[in-house]
Amino acid sequence: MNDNWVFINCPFDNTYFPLLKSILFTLIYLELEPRISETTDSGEVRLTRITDFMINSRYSIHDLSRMGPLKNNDLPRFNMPFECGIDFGIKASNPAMFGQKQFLILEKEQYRYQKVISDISGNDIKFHKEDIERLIKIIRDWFRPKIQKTPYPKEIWLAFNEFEYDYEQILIEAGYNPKSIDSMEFSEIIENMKSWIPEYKLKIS
Amino acid sequence: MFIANINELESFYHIASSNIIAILITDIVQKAKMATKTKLSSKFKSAASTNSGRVHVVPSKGGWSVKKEGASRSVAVKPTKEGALNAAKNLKSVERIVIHKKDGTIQKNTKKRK
Repeated sequence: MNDNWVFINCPFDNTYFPLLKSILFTLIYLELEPRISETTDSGEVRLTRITDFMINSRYSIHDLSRMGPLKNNDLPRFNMPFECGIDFGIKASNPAMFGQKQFLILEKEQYRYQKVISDISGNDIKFHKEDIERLIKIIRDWFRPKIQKTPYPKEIWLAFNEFEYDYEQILIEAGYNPKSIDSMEFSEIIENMKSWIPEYKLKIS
Repeated sequence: MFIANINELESFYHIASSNIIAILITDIVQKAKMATKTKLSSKFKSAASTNSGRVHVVPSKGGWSVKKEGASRSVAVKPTKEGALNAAKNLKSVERIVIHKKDGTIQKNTKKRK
């Protein structure tokens, strides 16, 4: 199990994309390693890959925001609670090996989970209201006792805004749609954040 | 592998050549993707290190922050967007003012009037 790996289980849609970017950005800013499956992975490959990520990640972030439908006629998405359940199963399966795994559960609204997935009560459940500044603070605050260097939430939020400017400019120039979750693979977004963040930190130091 | 006649040989040739072409195409596509990735990655690196003369007006808890690129923290926090914009306009050595939305994306990117 890797102490700085963080498995991310969250919705993959354009509405959630800005929140996902902020999660990736915050983790890399905190010098952690996000682990996320690609949207292009087929079902079986995806499940194998995410199970592998869960087994090897000390931390997991599970966002259950889509436990309700996005629009009136939509259906809720069950992938996130399903994957969250697998992760809990891994932890319970071998306390000696996986007992140190820690989960941060994210939700959009406070207490909604109690109506649909009350079994997870007692875990670290935070609600972000789909507010990115708040989400960055939640992640930073959750990791603060676990890692050595934790910048203030506002530093990360301001850095994220500057990154967003560069992200938009660079993607448009390269002929991609910066608002689309499908424009770039997650591995590439992570790689670009890893190129950007150390330079930014150097610039402001 | 045993090839009994010319038809089998021809069929083997077609399968082998199409496989080779497929491998070659996959290789070319992967190399092209890798080249694009490297190019974008270096653009991100360069964008972060460049001091561009931009100032960012960012909605944040407790008001609107005004932050110059290259500065470690905001130079001003104002209760309103207008107040923050005025503070941004009054900063020296600023060429562009970038106003952000609540999700961090860009609402407006304008050249500062002299």
